[in-house]
Amino acid sequence: MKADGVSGLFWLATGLIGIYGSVTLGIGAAHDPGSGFLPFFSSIFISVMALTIFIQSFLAKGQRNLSSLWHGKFWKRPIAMIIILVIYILVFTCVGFLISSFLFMLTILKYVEELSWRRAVLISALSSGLSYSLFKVFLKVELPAGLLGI
Amino acid sequence: MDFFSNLIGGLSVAVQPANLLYCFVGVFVGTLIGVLPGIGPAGTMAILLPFTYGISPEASVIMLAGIYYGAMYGGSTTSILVNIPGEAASVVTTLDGYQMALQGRAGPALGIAAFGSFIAGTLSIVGLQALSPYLVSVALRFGPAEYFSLMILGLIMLSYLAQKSILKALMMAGVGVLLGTIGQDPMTGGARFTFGIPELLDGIGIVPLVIGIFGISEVLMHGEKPADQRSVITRVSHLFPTRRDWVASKWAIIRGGVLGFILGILPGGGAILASFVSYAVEKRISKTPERFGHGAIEGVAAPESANNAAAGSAFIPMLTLGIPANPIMAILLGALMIHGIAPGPLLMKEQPNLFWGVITSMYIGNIMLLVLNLPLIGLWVKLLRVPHTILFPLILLFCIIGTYAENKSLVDVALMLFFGGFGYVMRKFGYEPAPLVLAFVMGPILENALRQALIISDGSFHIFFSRPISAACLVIAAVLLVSSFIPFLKRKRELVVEEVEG
Repeated sequence: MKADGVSGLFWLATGLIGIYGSVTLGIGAAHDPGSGFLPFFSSIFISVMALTIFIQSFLAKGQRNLSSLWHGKFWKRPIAMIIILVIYILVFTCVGFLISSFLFMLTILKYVEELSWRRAVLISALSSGLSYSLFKVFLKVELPAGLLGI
Repeated sequence: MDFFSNLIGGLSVAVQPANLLYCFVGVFVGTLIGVLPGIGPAGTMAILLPFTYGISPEASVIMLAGIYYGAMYGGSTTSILVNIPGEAASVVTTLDGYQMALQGRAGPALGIAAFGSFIAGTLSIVGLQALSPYLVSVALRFGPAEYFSLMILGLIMLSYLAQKSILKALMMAGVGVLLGTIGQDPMTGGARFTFGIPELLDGIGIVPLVIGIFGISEVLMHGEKPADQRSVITRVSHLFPTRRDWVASKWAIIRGGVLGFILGILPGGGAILASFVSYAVEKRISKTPERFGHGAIEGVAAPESANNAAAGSAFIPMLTLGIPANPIMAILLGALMIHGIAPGPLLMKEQPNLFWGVITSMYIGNIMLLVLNLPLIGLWVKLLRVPHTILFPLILLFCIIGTYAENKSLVDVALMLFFGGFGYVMRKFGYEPAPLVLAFVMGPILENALRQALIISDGSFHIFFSRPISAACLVIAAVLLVSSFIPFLKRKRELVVEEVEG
């Protein structure tokens, strides 16, 4: 399927959900616009644009296929980064900033950027330590203390 | 007389040691992130926004503004020496800047970029200072109808100038407005689209949205590309352009400065647009256009002057009307609002120290930048050797810290990650993020203006067409929209984009 066809469908669904939500909120009247007034019109706008993009994907020449968007790219790397980021956020408060940031940097540097163990450990320790000093000690940002209690 | 008394008043604020320090931090960080690819001024300003809570509003805006115009200087260094734009407004500088560097003229290219930036940037601040009082008096006559129409014009202009599909840019603007309505209804206080999440009652924060869309998604985009093998040109000498270089560049600097100033004021305009248009203009009027793309010094002077002039003049609509001209100004607007200051026509009168202090600090910031970017150029060249494999994970780490620091909320961090992934996928599908961010910030102001105007007019949409400024904005917006779908004009617009892209 064409990439624009897929994105058009996605936005059409978003627009329709927006219209439903706005109607539920209450559109009001022109002399007394309700909570759903602007969301309603922006959702209609989104739906019309989405429909046009969807139809255009069949009519216009030179449209790209969905698979071509990731052709020749290292598509696994962004996915790996997102998964690592999700895990990092999940353990951020309970494990604490220092340990979780060290492990986050280590995992990305070792497994996504494929650095040697020595460099990965060194850079992770330096970056988590320095950012801890800068943000927590110097800028007084409250970062989670976690297991180490600092 | 007013001009000088304002200058002196502003100077007394700008030269306070703390403000000087924050100005330096701003321009230093701006140059740093301008030099380093992967994160632009918008993402950086959003990361640093939470750290400005504890300092005075003057100092925080002086610092954030410094990041913006500092990035305009720094961006050219990477464009010239590595052929990768450090930030979006320096994309066109790569065309001739890198060619000059390959010919052994990296020094004059960097020199003319810095001098051009300084001259145009300073002229732009003079213009900002001289014009602001007049624009404030015009702005005082603005009612909700004018505000609404001007914002619509801004959003359509930004979409019209999108490098890719206008339809997709308009769509992003619509999505931005819808996202901006999440949270409490400003008039009734009722919850909208919060899905039962209490943290969403205050709406989506600008920090997680901007850091996600401009920070995380940028790193993800870089992550999927193969490692860049292009060589960094590290030998830089003869930074002072020769007399011949000056003769070739002087008009390019002036034209770039004037064009940049005008395009920066326009809602939806800004530094990126200014750099592209000024390059296209120089190429069009040159007697030897074939030199462009092969190391023409005007091709460096014009866009670098234009982007700095635009960075200065973009403050005009934000400071006088309270309407951000581009996403970066939207973050500055957020910074002011955090301090309980509502920018608009009354700002100059109610907060003269802030208003004139910020403007005057830009003169000082420009001088600092000239020093940072000429004698200290070696420092930035060394920074270019930092491998991306280390840089990008570090940016991710800073994105997390910046978002968490704002509210100590993991919901914000999760939102940031969501917008990062969303931004990445949207970019892959050819949707540009800038209209979304601008519409998101304008959304609540737009909604208030629309509802107030309709209540005033008792539900008649005639109010938007019966008031001259409002009608003019809507007519221009309609002309832009219609022209973008007429085949002949559509082709013309595409030709301009192609011409600029070389």
